[in-house]
Amino acid sequence: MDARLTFPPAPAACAALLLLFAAVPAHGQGEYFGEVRKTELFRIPIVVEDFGIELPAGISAIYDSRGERAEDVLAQDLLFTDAFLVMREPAGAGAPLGGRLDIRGLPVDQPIQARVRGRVEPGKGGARFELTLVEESSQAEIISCSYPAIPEGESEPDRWQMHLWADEVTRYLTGSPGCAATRIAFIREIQGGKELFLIDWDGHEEEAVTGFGSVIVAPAWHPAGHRLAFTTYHHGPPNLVALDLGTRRMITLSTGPTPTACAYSPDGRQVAFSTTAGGNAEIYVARADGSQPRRLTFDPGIDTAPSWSPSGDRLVFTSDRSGTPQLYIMDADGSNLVRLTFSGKWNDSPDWSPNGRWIAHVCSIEGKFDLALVGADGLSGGRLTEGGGCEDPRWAPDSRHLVFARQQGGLRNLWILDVDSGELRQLTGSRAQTYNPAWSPPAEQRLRASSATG
Amino acid sequence: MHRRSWWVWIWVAAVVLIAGAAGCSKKPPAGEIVPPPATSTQPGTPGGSETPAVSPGASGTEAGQHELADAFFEYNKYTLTLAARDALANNAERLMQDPNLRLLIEGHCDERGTREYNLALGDRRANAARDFLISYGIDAHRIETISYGKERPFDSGHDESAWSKNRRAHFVIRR
Repeated sequence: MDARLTFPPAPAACAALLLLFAAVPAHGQGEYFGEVRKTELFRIPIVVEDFGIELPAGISAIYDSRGERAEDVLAQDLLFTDAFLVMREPAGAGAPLGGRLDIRGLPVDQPIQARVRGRVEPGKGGARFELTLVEESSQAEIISCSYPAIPEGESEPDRWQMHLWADEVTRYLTGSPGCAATRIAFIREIQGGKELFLIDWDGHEEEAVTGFGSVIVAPAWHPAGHRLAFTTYHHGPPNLVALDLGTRRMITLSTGPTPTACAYSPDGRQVAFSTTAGGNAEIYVARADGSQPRRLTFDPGIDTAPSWSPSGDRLVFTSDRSGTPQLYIMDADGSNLVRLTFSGKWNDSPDWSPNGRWIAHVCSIEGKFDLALVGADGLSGGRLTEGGGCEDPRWAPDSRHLVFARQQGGLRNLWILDVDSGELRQLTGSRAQTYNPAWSPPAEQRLRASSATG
Repeated sequence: MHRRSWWVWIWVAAVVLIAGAAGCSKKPPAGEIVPPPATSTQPGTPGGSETPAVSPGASGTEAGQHELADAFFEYNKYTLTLAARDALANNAERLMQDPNLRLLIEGHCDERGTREYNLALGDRRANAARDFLISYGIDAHRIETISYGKERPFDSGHDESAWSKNRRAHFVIRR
């Protein structure tokens, strides 16, 4: 990203800090409305002004290929964080008569706290977007950003730049890592195969990655965001492979038998996975290239679906050693095994949140599979959904949103749930079975990790 | 004398070739380059218009798929029921009549539960069927197993009627 970030003067930083505290939601004791528990949370009122009032001749950089305005992309990103009340207004306009409405059409009673301004400026290397986040009461500039209005070699502005800017605004005002500049990998049944796909978090830029015409299961991101591991049957027996998205080179991590449920360690140096190599499904940890596998579990039950703690020193996984699938935690060397879940006959598919607070999983009560939370100490965080048909919960980098597959009328699609507020958003609306999501690391982490790993 | 040195050179060449081949096998795999899919969906809007997959139905490459009966399992179980044992015993008799037949046993599950867990469960079902056939006297070398978990259901329905058909060990004859 060719962008400049300027840091705030002290008073503005203090204002932002106040906003930060105001925005931190408590995990409220909500109640169920319909199928999802909903809780009213404070949202930061923010205005996204129209960009580019004075466009240089020949520049139409405020539109993307679908005729969507860049500021609308940004406003939608901020809305999807569930941390903001987002309003759109012309630049320089005062408070509208009749009161403000947010972009969902809901009235906004709270005072505006921040405002995003943007315009296109001519420059030596071509027109540039100049974006500024302003604290409303003092009109102090908090952060600003500048980047080419049209990326080099492209004919239109890049949605990704708006996602990156949305993440900057989110990070500054909430203290939470944004996840607008992220992608979600998933599996879709299409043309006789189960193929790997990618989609941006806002439901745009969907693309097929594979065309094997075979079965792919359980994609998992490398923390550098350049590689996905998954199980594929395209050579017959299932193999665990890692596909580099840039070079499209695919290496085999394990030939099994039945190697699956791969999870990269947070530092990207190791993989945990399940295989029946010893005659029974057990958890193994190997180097990231699949070499030097070490068996961690030794139990006649099924052990699978490992997920790393954010510090990389523990693993949560599923085992049916008690007679039903339940969650267990152990150290990364296999020691200090502890059973985590006791309620319900089926607790499975764990995913440890990036901030370490919760382990999302699927629980079955009376035969319906819903999402639930449990702490690493075994403290229940409650059930998140009702109605069943939910599987594969996977955390966003902000540890607040979950993407998961939800079955309705026999058809699975991907949905995103804000765990704090209960807001639910449909990500895919395909007529083909769509499931097994995996949320990419944030753009900032991807850049950092890729420079570290070369 | 000339004939002897000729044979020596052949042996030397053979040793070099064998050593070279052994050296190659120790190298890590260079990796497969995956071409982009021939047809990708339009960039997207939620609600795209992809062609749904063909109903999964039968699986794999199946020669003579109707010659051996499936063995069915109870929910989240891999123990053999009496009916499953009867089916397997009949299959074993059929295999004993033709010692040239080789077999791939596919382990399948219903759609409930996660994919990872069901892959392991399908593995157990395939192995339970294999172990029964071996105990009946079928040579273990004639049998391979594979688990498809819930990835290739026979019936794509979403009720017990469909689920009961999908919890199965399925037999693919390889001639």
